[in-house]
Amino acid sequence: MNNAILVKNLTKSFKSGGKVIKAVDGISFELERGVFASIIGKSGSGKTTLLNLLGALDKADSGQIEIDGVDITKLGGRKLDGYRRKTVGFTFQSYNLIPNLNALENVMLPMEFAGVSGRERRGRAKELLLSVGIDENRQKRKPAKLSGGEQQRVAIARALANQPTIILADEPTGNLDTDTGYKIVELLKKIAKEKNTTVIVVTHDNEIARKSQKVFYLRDGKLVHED
Amino acid sequence: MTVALIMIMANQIISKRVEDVKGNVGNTISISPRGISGFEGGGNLLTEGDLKPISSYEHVTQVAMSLRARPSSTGLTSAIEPGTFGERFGQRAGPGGGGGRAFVSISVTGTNITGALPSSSLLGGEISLTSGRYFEASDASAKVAIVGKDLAQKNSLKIGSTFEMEGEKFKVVGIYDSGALFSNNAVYLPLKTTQKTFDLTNNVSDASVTVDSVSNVDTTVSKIESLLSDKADVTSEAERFTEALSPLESISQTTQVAVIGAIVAAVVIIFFSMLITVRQRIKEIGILKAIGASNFHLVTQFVTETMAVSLLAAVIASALSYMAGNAIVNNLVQPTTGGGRGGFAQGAGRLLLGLGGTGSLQVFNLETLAYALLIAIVVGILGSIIPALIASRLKPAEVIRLE
Repeated sequence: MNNAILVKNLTKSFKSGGKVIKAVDGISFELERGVFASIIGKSGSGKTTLLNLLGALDKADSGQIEIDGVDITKLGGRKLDGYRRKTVGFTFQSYNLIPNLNALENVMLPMEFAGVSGRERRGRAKELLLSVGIDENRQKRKPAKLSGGEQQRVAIARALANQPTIILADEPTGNLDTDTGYKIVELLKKIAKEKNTTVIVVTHDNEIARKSQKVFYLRDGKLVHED
Repeated sequence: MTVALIMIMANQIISKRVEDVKGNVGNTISISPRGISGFEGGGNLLTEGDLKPISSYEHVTQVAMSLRARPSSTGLTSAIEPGTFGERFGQRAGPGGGGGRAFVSISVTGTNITGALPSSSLLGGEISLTSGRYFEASDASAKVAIVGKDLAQKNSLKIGSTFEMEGEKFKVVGIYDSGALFSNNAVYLPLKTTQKTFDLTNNVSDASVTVDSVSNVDTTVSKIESLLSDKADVTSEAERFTEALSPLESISQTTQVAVIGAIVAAVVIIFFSMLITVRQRIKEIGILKAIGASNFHLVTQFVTETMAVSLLAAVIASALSYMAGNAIVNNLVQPTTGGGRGGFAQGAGRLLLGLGGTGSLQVFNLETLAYALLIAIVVGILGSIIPALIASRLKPAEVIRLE
């Protein structure tokens, strides 16, 4: 079974100002494990909604999302919590680190939810932070004392905390300068390759798309092209 | 929280004092043979058999039986001179009581009480032993006596002295002082000894029944009345004391209402502040869910955080109550002098403190601390569980993009 992700006829609508907007309109695709893929489209094309559906941060109206053969649209409650905790790792454009925890504690947090022991949490978090380029000194800093690029690296380390098979990154370079952005992309590519983790990046940056093994083009909630 | 604690302390102390007072005043029932008062009147004396069932009644703590008599012959000299009052109304020695010298007779009381002397409405005054001892169980029918201070002085009686009465010899084992000359001119004997000496076997001239609380006097009175029917008059002062205590009990109720009010206020405040917290932290909740926090984690976190605040409040409130509570409660329960208003509260305070006899009330105790912790836990859980449940139901995608 090579398909890590299999999406079939996925739909999601929102009501806005009395009108129904089809944010995701019958999207189907499949993706192999360990691939670095990007979803590209204009603002409002539905790419973040699609990513939220893949990460179970939102519920689809219809369709299927099979992850390693399990349809997560059929899961509820605890199993969905478990999916978010163990199978996927999320990163955001504005990093969304917990402001009153330092870098190390931020990375330890998902492991705490997964019931990993305190000592192991600390050790693994340190290792992960070093692997994304955050040294011991910076690990003790709170997010506000780190640069944008550093915060995104911490967020990536946090996403990797419970060794997920999928990383979902929503505009990971959106708040970064070009050079730092590309370094982050390289880091994500390296993770996909070395850890055999499927990485899906939502972006509107064609340069990132060019560096991806697979690109999905979205327009008005529809998948218009993939290569 | 401090208010609640202080109210709890006030409530505790008032309730405790009210119970003390109830157990100390107005809780005695007097039984006297119908038609007889002291040495006046007519009719039949009661018997021990008549009164026996009373001691097994519920709430009855003591049945003090007395037999009063006047000796017709004794070697003792009365400590009281007849004076003008005695000349006019007193008894006269001599045949037929018609002539002879006026005298004030010595009163003899038989009692079944050991370890104390019965307070007697006839003799009056607070009775305390100045030397020797009270009767003991082994004295039941022994020829021993406890005599009044003035009578002892007049007759040069000391502990171990003997005197003669009704042709019998009695040994002095104790000397008492009641603070009044009249009641110090008397002799106490064990009940059985008195019955035998005055040939009144099994007779009792009056009895005093003590119950555990003034609240239980009425029911006990009814029971005794139906037991003795037309043989005796049964009286108590319970009603008067119950009335005196009712304002205190209403203070106690007021403090209970205040406690509930303070707790409800605390729950409402915590509830709304937690709702505000949820709104402020809505994004954080979304992030935590996105990185794998379960609803259980979120609810636990919110409840724990609220509990921490709530317990901290309990600690601060306990400290404040410990420092200031005693003063506040003492002021609440015992207003100082002055002010026309609040006369009842003053009276009530005096009554409480007067009977407590310890002056300042030390009211902060382990029980108060336990209440503080209990309130903290209840307030913490009630105030946080609903906001926590609301938080846990949020969809991460809806809140995560908020700035």
